[in-house]
Parts: sequence; structure tokens; C-alpha cells
Amino acid sequence: MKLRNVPHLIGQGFISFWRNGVMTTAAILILICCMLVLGSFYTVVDNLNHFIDEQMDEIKTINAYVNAKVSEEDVAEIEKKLVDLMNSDGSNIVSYERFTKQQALEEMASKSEDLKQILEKYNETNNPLPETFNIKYKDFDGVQKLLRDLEEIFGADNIKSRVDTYESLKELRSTATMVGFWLMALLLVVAVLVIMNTVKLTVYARRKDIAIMRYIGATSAFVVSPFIVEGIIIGIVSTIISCGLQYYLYTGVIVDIVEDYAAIDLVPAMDYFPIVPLAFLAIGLFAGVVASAVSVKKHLDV
Amino acid sequence: MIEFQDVSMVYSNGTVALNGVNLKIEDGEFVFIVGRSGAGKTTLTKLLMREEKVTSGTIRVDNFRLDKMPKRKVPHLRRTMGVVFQDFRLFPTKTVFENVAFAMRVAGEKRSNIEKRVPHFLNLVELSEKSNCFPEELSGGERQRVAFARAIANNPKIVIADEPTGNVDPEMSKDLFKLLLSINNLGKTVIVITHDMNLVEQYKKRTITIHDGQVVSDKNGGVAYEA
Repeated sequence: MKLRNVPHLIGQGFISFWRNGVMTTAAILILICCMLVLGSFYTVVDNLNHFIDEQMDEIKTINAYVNAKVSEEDVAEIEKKLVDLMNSDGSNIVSYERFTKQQALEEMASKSEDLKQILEKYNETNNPLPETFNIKYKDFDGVQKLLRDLEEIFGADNIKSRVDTYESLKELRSTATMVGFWLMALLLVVAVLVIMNTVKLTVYARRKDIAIMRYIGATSAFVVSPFIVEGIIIGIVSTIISCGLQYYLYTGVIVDIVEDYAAIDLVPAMDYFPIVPLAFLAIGLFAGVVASAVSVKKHLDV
Repeated sequence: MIEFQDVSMVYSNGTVALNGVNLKIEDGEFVFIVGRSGAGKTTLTKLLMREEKVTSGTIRVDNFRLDKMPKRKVPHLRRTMGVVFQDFRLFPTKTVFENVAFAMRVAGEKRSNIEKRVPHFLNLVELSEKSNCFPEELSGGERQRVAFARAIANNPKIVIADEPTGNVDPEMSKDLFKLLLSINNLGKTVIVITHDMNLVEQYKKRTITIHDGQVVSDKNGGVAYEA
């Protein structure tokens, strides 16, 4: 193939794209459908993981209580030990928050009018609620050692952690990730097969043109090139439309509905940039180019 | 020069299409290849274009040995021939201009040359005004003339017309023959494949008759063997 033919062949790709309107439109629509199904499924799986992550992060807190009868000086001593533990080498504590007896009382009273009335008889001197330290830790693997250290400071009965819940969530996350991965892989295979079949059909519809090109003396490269250019255009156009639709679908429909009714914070749409557009482009180009080349090759032998 | 030496062609289903064919066509000849349906004319054309490969024997077209030629050389062989197919085989999504230009593109012609020469060929076949039309907007005769313009666009040494009277009325086929005779006068080899004996008698050229896959007659002056 001569170099001077390259601009012509690229131009031919654009002309074919335009003139074979019905078939290219069909190919683009099918590509868009496949991309949207894949994109939507990916965002659902990712949001599920994000939700579980959030929950796991939230329960990475240990509540340590100090008996209400302990004096203020002793509480200060306990807090000093906690600060020392936090500042020690290799500490697993990220931060802690002290919740005074008075704050606990106010918090409980604020929950309902009935509770407020019941709690009215308590004051600073007879407040039965304990002093609470909410301790955030970073590494779940080191939680058992941290619990032992905290038990030494606060006493075994005064520690409350949600280690079991965390472990259940961890298991749920890995199951969700695995199921999501395999379903995505399956969907991807199905999508690629559907797209390749569509492209094959568009090429099949033009098999006579391919034969004529060969009769006139066109080389394989000369015949295949415009189809590949057309495949690239189909892939790019489908990607652009799919990204627009996916963005609208996510921000305008899914986020609104879920956040309105389920009060769950979803992953911001822009967090999917550039992974989703790039994935769409990869699928579009792979399907458009590889399927075109393979399908055309089948009809070259005349 | 085209030369067939002991050429036999047996299809994979066992059909013997050609059996020991020997023939030689010199440069600049005008030759009719005649025979009834199923005689082997189509197979002969397919072999000439290397659409099929011979089972045995030797085929030479100028410097090409078709029986030994690798696939990648086939496009080069085909560019030395211009073929007017019975069903014209025009690109339905290309205009008349683009159909003719395509053949020149394939041969690697420069864009400026293509833009200069295509109007000349369209003028030759009296289709200048239909340059931007698509094949479906043309009559059968006009399509045949586009096919002819495309066939001669690359200045081929050999022009083959396959059943030129098959899809057009007698008046139109007369026009095509005028064109074929005129390019023959320019020194091109012209091969007309037909089952129409009237043409043979009318133009009185060398006539090769094929019957049951064999050359049964090869005479000058428009005489065909009657099986």
C-alpha cells in the first residue's frame, strides 16, 4: 500500500461511516447499550463496596467507659495513659474523643421529649452515665493487641468494640467484590461477543463491495484499512455518547433516587473519570477494530 | 500474451470444469470465447483472474505464472486487466466518479492524475453529466459504460468483457462493442466471453469455442463450432 493512499483511506473510512448509515447506526446503538449495561453494573458494584467500606471505617472505633463514680483526677490519669499509648511507637490509635458525663446526659436528653423529662432529675452530682472515650484505630489486624492494652487501662468490662461486625462486613465485601468481578467479566464477554457479531453483520452486508475491490486489484491492506478507520470512528462515537448517557444516568437518576430515599452517600460521578471513559473506549476500539479486521479478512479470499 | 498449456480444473466436488485446455492469445488480439452454459467459460475467466487456481497445467499472463503465483501477487495481476462484468459489479455507495477513481486509487495513481483522467474516461463513455450519480440512479446501459470506464481506467493491456449482452438491450451492447473495438485498435487485447452467436457472426473475429471443458474449435472470421 502506497503512503499517498493513507489520507484517502482514512477519508474513505469517514465516507463509509456516513453512507452506510443504517448499519453503522445499528452498530453504535448496540455498542452504547453494552457500554451502558457494563458501566451501570460497574458503578453499582463500586458503590456497594464504597458503602461497605464506609461502614467498616465507621465501626473502626472502640468505646471505652469510665465508671461514673471514679473521681475527676482518676479520669485525668486514665486519659494521660491513653495519650501515652497513642503516642507510643507503632501505636494503632488514630485519634480519640472524650465524651464527658454531662455531654452524654445532654445527648440522651436531646433524643426525645420523654427522655428529657425523665433525665431532668439528674445533674452533675448524681449523673449515672459514664465518661466515654471513643477511640479510632487504623489497622484492623492490630486490634486485638490494642484491645488488650485498653483493657489494662479501662478494665476488661469497660471496653466495647465491634470486631465481630467488622469481620462480617469484611467477608461481605470480599464476597461482593468477587461476585461483582465475575459478573463483570461475564458481562464483558457477552458485550464483546454481541458487538463483534454486530460488526460482523455490518461487514457481511458489504461483502460484495469487498469482493469488487479484490477483483479490481486492491491489496488486503487497501481493503481492510477503511473498515478499521470506520471501526475506530464507531468506537469513539459510541464512547462519547455512552459517557454522556452514563453521566446523566448516574448523576440525574441514580444519585438523586438513592440519596433521596436511602440517604446513602454515593461515589461522586467524577470519581469514575477517567476509568469508565477509558474502559468504554477500550471496549469500543477493540470491538470496532478487531471485529472489523477479522470479519473483513474472511471475505478477502476472492 | 496469454497462454494456457494443458490446463485442467477440477472443483472440490469433483466437477471437471476444464480438461487439457491449450490456447494462446497474442497481444492486441480481439478474441471471442464462446460456449454454452456450463461449458467452462466462467471457469476460464476465474482462472485468468486467479480467482481459482489450476488443478494442473500452466497459465501465463505476460510475466505472471498464474499456477505458481503467491496470493499476495494476485492484486498486481488484476491491475493489468480491466474486466467488464456481466452484473457490472459497481460499488453501490460510490458515485460514478468514485467508482472509476477507485480503480486508479488501487493502482496507486496520484490524486491530481485521478482528478484529471476520470472526467476524460467519463466523457469517452458519454457519462460526464452523471458523474455524481450513484449506480442505482443509472440505467443498465449506463452502468455497463461505467464498468467499461473503470475497466480501462488503469490503461490495462487486457480487457475482458463477460457476457456483455447479458443485461442490456442490443442497441446498448452495440455501443459497448464500439468502445471495445476502439480500444482494441489502440493495441489492447480484448477478450469477449459470450454465448451469443450473433455477436460472433456480426464481428467476425477470432473465436475460441469451449465445450465440456475443452477447446473444440479455434478459428478466425467469426466461425464457431456447433456442438
